Amino acid sequence: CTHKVQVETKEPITININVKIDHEIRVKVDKELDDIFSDDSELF
Amino acid sequence: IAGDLQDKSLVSEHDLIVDEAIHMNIHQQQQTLTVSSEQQAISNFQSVVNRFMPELTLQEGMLNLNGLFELQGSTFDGKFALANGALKYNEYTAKGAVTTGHIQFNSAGLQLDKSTLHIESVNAGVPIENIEIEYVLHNSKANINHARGDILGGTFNVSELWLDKRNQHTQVTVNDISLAKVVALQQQSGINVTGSVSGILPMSVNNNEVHIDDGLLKSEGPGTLKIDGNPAFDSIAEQQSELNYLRDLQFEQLSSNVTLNSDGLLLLDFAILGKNPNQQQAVNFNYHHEENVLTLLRSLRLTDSVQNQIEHKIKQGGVQ
Amino acid sequence: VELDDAKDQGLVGEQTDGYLGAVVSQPDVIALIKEVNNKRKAKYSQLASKNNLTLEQVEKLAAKKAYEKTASGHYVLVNGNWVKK
Repeated sequence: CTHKVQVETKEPITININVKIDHEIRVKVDKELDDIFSDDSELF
Repeated sequence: IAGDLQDKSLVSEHDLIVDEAIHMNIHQQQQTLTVSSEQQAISNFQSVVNRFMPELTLQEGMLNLNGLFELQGSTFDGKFALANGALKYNEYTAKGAVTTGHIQFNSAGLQLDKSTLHIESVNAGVPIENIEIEYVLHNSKANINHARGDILGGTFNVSELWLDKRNQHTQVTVNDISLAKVVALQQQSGINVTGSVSGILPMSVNNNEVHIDDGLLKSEGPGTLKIDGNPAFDSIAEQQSELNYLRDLQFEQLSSNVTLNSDGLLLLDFAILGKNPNQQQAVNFNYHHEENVLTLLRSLRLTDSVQNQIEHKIKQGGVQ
Repeated sequence: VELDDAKDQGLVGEQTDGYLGAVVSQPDVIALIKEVNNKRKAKYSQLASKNNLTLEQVEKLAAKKAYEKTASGHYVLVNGNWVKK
């Protein structure tokens, strides 16, 4: 039998990612942006 | 009232307005009333709907209703037809609703043989289209035998579901759901996925709260993940260099457990077997995703409306 | 020149990156833009670190907010050209 040398991909590595989407943050940031872009703010 | 005393048959003709809204023509022949209500704006029936489903608002659409009402035993037997109805159920809007059916009313309540409700589209934050719902009314209790529709590039099917807030189990199956469209819901720049998933999501209703347990989605075939220009990913990849393998990943197998809590919290546990072609590196990628899907849909609906307002204003403003 | 006057006179407008841009580039307008954008950047980075977001993420949300709040008749950048809302 012929030994077929296969190009083995390197040893598999494990990657773990945990994502927790917190819409409360978006609401909080949204409120703060409301102030930055309010009529009396000197940034807008 | 044209009364004819000789043959003592009382014939009368009435044009009624019920609940100050519903126009009906009634032709009485002794104990039988022939009722007909043609081309009625369904919004006129809002008062009726408020009695058993207040969260439903009838906005547009034409209804025909005609049949016979027997004074003795106060039973009704007739037909109805709804055309291009637009409805709002809580925050979800539906348009292009069409259905017809044979409806009866007797001492046990409303009875309706199996009918099909077609709905062109529902905007829940995510468009759901070409919906078909087979429904029945049994003693005024509504039952969905089966429902199907198009969503996120694929389709879904729901098996039997009672609409009378009883505790029950049903099964939602999904087919060919495009991963690209699912990722697009996150509105994250620079993340491109290909491939699709199908699976079964066992759904239960307990004291009027809906949840999914032990749902499983599996990829149909191979797919790819490419990440380029996503600020959030770039910042974590700086700390963990092997994450960079995820910038270009080809996967053969992808599966995810699915849990949806009754408060809307969605838990996804992806297991992805793939490899980074450039570095010939095999990768087992486990991705846990937690998000409240109700707030996500609400924010999508809000941004839709904001987006439309901006575009609408700009169109008016000068960019024609 | 004051920011509100600059907006009313169509000298400046909101860009897609959450910052102010020059519709008419004259020295005083450029100076005003530099000053306002520096303050905005400081605010954005503060917001980003407080809510563990990246600066770019806050900038993107700020741009969306700026577009929403821009009064009609003021300039916004759409596909690279200045457009009156």
